[in-house]
Amino acid sequence: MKTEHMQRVRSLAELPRGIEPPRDQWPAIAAQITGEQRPPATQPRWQWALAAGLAALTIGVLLGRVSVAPQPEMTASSADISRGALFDAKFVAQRNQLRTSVLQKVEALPPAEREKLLHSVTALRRAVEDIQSALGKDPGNALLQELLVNACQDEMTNLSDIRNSETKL
Amino acid sequence: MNTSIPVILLAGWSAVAGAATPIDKRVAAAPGNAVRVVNVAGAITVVGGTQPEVHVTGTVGSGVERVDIVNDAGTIVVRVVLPKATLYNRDGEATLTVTIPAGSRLETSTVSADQKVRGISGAVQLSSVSGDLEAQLASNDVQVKTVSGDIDLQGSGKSAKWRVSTVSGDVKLLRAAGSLELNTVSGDTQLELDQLTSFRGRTTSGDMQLRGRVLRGADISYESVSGDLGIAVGTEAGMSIDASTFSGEISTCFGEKGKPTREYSPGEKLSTRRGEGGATVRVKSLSGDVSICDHP
Repeated sequence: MKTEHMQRVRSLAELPRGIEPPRDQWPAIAAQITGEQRPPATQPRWQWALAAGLAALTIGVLLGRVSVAPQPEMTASSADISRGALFDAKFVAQRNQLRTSVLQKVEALPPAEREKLLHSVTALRRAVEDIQSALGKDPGNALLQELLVNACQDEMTNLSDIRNSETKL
Repeated sequence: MNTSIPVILLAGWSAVAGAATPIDKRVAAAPGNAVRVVNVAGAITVVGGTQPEVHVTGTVGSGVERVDIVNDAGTIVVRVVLPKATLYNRDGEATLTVTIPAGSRLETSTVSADQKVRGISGAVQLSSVSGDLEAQLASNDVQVKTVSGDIDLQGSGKSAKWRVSTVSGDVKLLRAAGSLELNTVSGDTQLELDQLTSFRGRTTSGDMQLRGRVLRGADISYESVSGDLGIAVGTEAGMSIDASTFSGEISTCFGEKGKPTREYSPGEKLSTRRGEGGATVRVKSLSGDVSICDHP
């Protein structure tokens, strides 16, 4: 290390306003840029950013739920029930897939029937969401845990019934 | 043994004619035969008769390919057949009246066709997608299922096993005796019971009203997410009541009210006994209101 770098600085004013590189490096950099064939990006940066943001949001929500929950009041079984129904990735994936296929099927129905079924599909989804929301405030509530399990089962059963029903004339 | 009876007629001829084609066919049926009726659109009426036969009358539209009546290993199958490529067949309707031996087991399946059933005492299994179901039954085993079709049932007051489910249809059930299991999502439910021994009901957002008489020792249990629940049943032996909600209100016709589950919580709970407490009533809801009465 050179001695001038070892000098003690007593104020910001003593620092130089700029540091000139010992040599001009731009020509070499420019030559590298123009001469280099960059591989095409497989994913746009915004997608990575979105994915990272969603991941951060998910982690934040999960951490928030866990921190909001008064852990000492939760029994092992109640935590298992609520978390299993709320966060199990396989269940969520199956439910989303089922919701999508049912909505596609319902969209093809005559208006009156479509309206009735959309009302029911929405009611099923909101029921689960409402119970989840209530459970977030009162995680140890046995009534909510029972209602949540039943609501999730009801949603899957009814969505399956709609999907499997013969609707083509 | 499969006995196929070709009944109807080329769609092309009907289309040219431009009119509904009448149908009138009979096939012998043994007393123990089951009968299955399948129709997509239009309507079916199934009537219990006294003759050992299945008698099919009515009309079919020009878009109907044929109506099969088949004895499939003891089950008489009446099936309205549409061309396979048909998607939105505007005249694929069949309006049929099917008379069967009253004691037969009956199974029906329709898409948009409405159904009416009366005078059947054998086990009954009715299903429809969007068609409405209306039945007067003396059966001891009844299963009814729709997606969006409304359900209107009347029992005979004799003990039976009832299983009823719908997604968005409304349900009306009168004179149901025995055991009843009922599930709905958004349809409203009106029940008038007669000597019920057990009831299991679940609704998501539809309201459910239960009225009538239950037997000593009856077990009544139902729950909702946001639908209101009402029960007004009488029993000589009284009832033991256990009701709880997360945010709904609980009221009774005998002066008692639900009490808050916690000091600052909107939820209520009511545990009480009327008379001997012979019947058990359990009610649970997330946000629906609950009303309870110890007489119809």
